Formats: sequence, C-alpha cells, structure tokens
Amino acid sequence: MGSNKIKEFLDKQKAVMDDKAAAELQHKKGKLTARERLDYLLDKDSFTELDAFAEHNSRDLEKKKAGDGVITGYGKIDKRPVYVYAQDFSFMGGSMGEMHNRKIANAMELALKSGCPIIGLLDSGGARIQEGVASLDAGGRIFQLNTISSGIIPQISAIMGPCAGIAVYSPALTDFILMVKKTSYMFITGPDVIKTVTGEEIGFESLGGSSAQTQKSGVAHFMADNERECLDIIKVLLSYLPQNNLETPPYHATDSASRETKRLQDIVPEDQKKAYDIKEVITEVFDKKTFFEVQANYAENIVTGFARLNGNVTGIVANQPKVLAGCLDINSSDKIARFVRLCDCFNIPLINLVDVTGYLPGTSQEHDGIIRHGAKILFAYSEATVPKISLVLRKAYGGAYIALVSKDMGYDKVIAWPNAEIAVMGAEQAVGIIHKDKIGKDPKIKEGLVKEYSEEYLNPYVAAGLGRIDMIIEPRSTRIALIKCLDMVISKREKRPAKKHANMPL
Amino acid sequence: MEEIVVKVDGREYKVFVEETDEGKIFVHSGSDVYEVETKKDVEQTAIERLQKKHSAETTNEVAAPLPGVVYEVKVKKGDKVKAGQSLLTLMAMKMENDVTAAKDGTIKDLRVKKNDNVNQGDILAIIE
Repeated sequence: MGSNKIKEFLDKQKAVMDDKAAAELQHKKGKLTARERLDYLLDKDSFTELDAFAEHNSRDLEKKKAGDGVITGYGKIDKRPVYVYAQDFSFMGGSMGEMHNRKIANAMELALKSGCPIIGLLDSGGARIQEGVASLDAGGRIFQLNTISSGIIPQISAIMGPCAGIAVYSPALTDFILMVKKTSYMFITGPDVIKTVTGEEIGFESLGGSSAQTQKSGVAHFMADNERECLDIIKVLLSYLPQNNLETPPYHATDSASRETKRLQDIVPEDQKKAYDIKEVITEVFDKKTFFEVQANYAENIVTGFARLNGNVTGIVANQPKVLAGCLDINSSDKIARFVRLCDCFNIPLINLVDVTGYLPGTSQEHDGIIRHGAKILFAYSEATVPKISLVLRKAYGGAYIALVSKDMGYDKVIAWPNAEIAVMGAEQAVGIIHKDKIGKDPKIKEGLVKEYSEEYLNPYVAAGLGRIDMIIEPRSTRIALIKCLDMVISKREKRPAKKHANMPL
Repeated sequence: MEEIVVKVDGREYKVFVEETDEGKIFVHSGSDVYEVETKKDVEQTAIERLQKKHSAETTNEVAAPLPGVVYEVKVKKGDKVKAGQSLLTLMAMKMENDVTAAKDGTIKDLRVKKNDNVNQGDILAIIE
C-alpha cells in the first residue's frame, strides 16, 4: 500500500477527531464536547468508534462533516461493556439527519443483539429540516428500537443541551432521563410556538428546564448540577443494573448482615399522627451508603430508589409520611408503577416500606382519573415476578393495604412491627359506619366504641392470626428480618401464562 | 443561553444567544458563531427579564398541600417567618401535616383558623 493512501487516511481520521471548533463552542456555555463527554464517561482507552466516516447524502446541503453530528460506539464503564452515542452540537446544532439517526439506530441494534446497556448523550436542536421526511423516518427507527429494547437492556438518556420536538420521544421511551441544571431543556413545542398559539410568555428554563421536568412533570428522573455530575450519576446508576434482562444486578458485599437497627425506634414516632422522614429509616436498614434515590424531586410522598441489602440490589418503594402524609395519589401511582416495572424487567427484588392510610381524597384526583392511575400500582405489582417483600411500620389501611401489602396479591413475605395498624379503615370512620345507629348524639358512646375498635382491630395480630402476615418483629431486628426474608425468596421463579402482552391501564 | 428566532430579509433563522461572564454576547447559528455588539440597555432588559422570570416562580401564597382540617395555627398576622418554618398543621390522612413557609417574610394575611376545613390548593396564608 502506498504511503500516500495511509497519509490520506490519517488526515481524514485526524479531521474526525478534531475537537477544536466544538470545544470553542461548547466550553463557552459551560458544556463539554461530545468527545470530552465520552472520554469522561467511559473507562480509559475503552472506546471504539463506529461509522466514524458516515456523512449525510442530502443534495440540498453543502456542508458535510464525517460523523454527521453524532459519535457512536462501544466502550466500557467499570469494566462492563456499554454502547453509547453522543450528539455533537457543533455540527449543524446536533440536528438529527437521516445518517445521524441511522448511526444511532446501528449502535442501538448492536446493543440489543449483544445484551449491553445503551447510553445516549443528547445535545441537539431536533430534526434536520433540510433533509425532510427521510430524517423523520430514520427517527422512527430509533423509536421502534427503543421500544423493542425496552425490558431487555437498560436504556439511559442524558439530556445535555436542547432536546426539542420529536427528539424528546426517544429519551421518553427509555428507562432513565437525566438532565443538567441550566444547560438542558426538553419540550415538544418551544416558547415561541406557545406564544404564537396561546399568547403565554414563558422562558426555556421554566418551560422545559431540569427543575420543571424533574419536579413538575416527572419526565426526567435525575437533575445534575453540571455535566460531570450527570455522567457520574450514569455510572452509579449502572452499578445497580444488570447488563440485560437475563442477568442479575452485580453483587457487592457492603455491610454486616447481623447489624441491629436500633435507631429505628427513635426515628419513627410511636404516635401514629406524627410524621418522620422515611429516608432515615431506609439508610438505617439497608447497607450503608448504598441508597440511591430515583425521581427524588417528583411525587415526594412516595420514595423510590435502589439500595443494597446484604449486598443484593433491591428496589425500594416507601411511603414518605412527612410529605402529603405519604398518601397514594395520581402522580405517586405513576411513579410507583414505572419503578416497579423497571425492577421487574431487570430482576431486582422489591421491598415496600408501608405507612399510609390510603389514597388522597378530592374531586380533582377523581376527575383526573385516580382510578385508572391507581390501578397501575395493582397491575405493576401483580404482574411483577421478582421477589416482593412488604414491611408495615405503622398504618396499612384499605386499598393501600391491598396494593402494598396483600399476600393474596402476590407479596412473598410480609412482616410488621408490633404497633402496626392493619385494618380496612381507621377507628373513627369504621365506628361511624358500623355503629351508626348506636352513636346518636352522645360523644361518649362513640369514644368508647372507637377505643374498643382500636384495641380489637388496629394491630398486627388480627392479620397474623389469619396468616396474612408472616412475622411480627421488633424495629431493631428489621434489617436482620428483611435479609432473612430476601434469602428465602431471592431464588424464586414464577411463571405466567404466555401471551402477546398485557393491557395495562394507562 | 437563549434560543430566539431572527428575521433577516424576510427569512426566519433560529439562533442561540449566549452571554459570557465577561459580558460578551455570541450568537450561535447551526455550527457558526458570531460575536455581536450590544447596547447596554439591551443587556439590562435581558437581565431584568431573567430576574422577573425568577421571582415569578417563588409565590407569596401558602396553599394547602392536601385536603384536611386545620389542627393548629402556629403564627399570627404580622409575624416574621423564615423559609422552612412551620406555619400550621393540617389534620389529613389521619396525620398532622406541617405546612411550611416557602420563603422569608411577614405574614400579611392568614385566612384560616383551627378546625376549618380546607381543600387541596386553598390559600391558607400570604407571605410578603
């Protein structure tokens, strides 16, 4: 081979790798270039680039650049293989042309075939208008691959710049969305369209910035202060996930199995009316420094997240009594259902920490469809075949009891603290219904009946007597008991009748 | 960075405007970057607009987070309060729920008393 050919190749390769223009553009905005992001995300020297010389073939566009505005490839994070794509905002605003989209789709197909997570680092103005419908069509291929891959490989999308119009739907079809404060935003129609149509004036940040999407809409799961933190969160997140649905999450021994949880008695007030922070309970019970919250800023009345228990990754769903009394409502139903299904996809056992009286009452909840949203919780748990353990700390009433505790609905192990109240409803309401005729106008009669009802029914022993609860434990033995329960059921296998797919309430 | 649409000779272009710490203004269009000169007053309005946007997001109104009964009122009209301070508790879902101040200020109006029924979203107090 002539040395000219080799020189030509090396020059071309150099042009592909040239990051100067991109750096100039991105650094000013406090952003990294696509290459710098991949460098930071992946293990050193582990990256192999795919389709580096791909260009668009549009007749209407003169400007070309090898790579067509997206870097795709394969690399390793913590020695585990992943596929990645990173959009390059410095070429035509990272716009999604046909070739650009096909490159992403190629990486996704390889990720799916080889059972590796796929991570997208998005920074794009949206569809490349000049390429017309061809670019849209290739976008459709991405959506289809997102959907086919769902539940097979973990899919993570980090929004590191603009993500607008059709570009938002690929992230929305993935398992996790991360956003960076101040430099990233997502929306279907931007502020200018909204102004034209409705006359409302709203800025980019308030409309689709990281706080809007993590707190108000629940579209995004994590909010990072800056890009490096965002990439760090991806690495931590992957440490809790298996490579694909046929594997189990990585095991790391992190804490003693015989540690007593003595602080719980002080954290959780005996007076059932008093609130507390369930996250303190979680950090006391689960392996030290392993709690990793998911959707921390959305529907805070429910806490969802991963933590290790005796080294095994578990998915926690917990009522947060200090926010909206930890109730179930429309938003928290969505949050729970989505998290439970994610854990079920990736063989992560579920542990519920229950302390709630039920669903939030109100006209707006009813008219916004709490029935169909609340049904998602029942559906998600009933459908899940991973080990399911429920711990009742204090209250578990009515519908919330069925959703989060009921053995007949499929919980494998149910444990309760001695002061747990497991019943259809609270004493006041129950007495008001059962003894409607007796109560009359004398408050003393009602008082006596409430006391009687409370003593007789608001305890864990009625449920335990019926075999609805497996164990009653002291708060200090909570960790030990949960570890034993997990040990018992971690190897369980549950089979369901084959079907095309279920018709989940949406 | 702010995205705006500019009209040049009747054609519309979507560009990104960016202000650096040194006060320089850059306009990004596709992969092209142009530094532009601005008048001081133009910058001033941009900053003012940003501030307005910010202040619009912290509201003076304290709304009921969930439907319930006022159980305890801990402040009175004219009291100075700090962000995060508990103003009152609502008995709801069989629990005492703290309603806290979103920002520092003075209680300008207190619209509920003990044993009042409130609905989700009802304004309980105004802080200024």
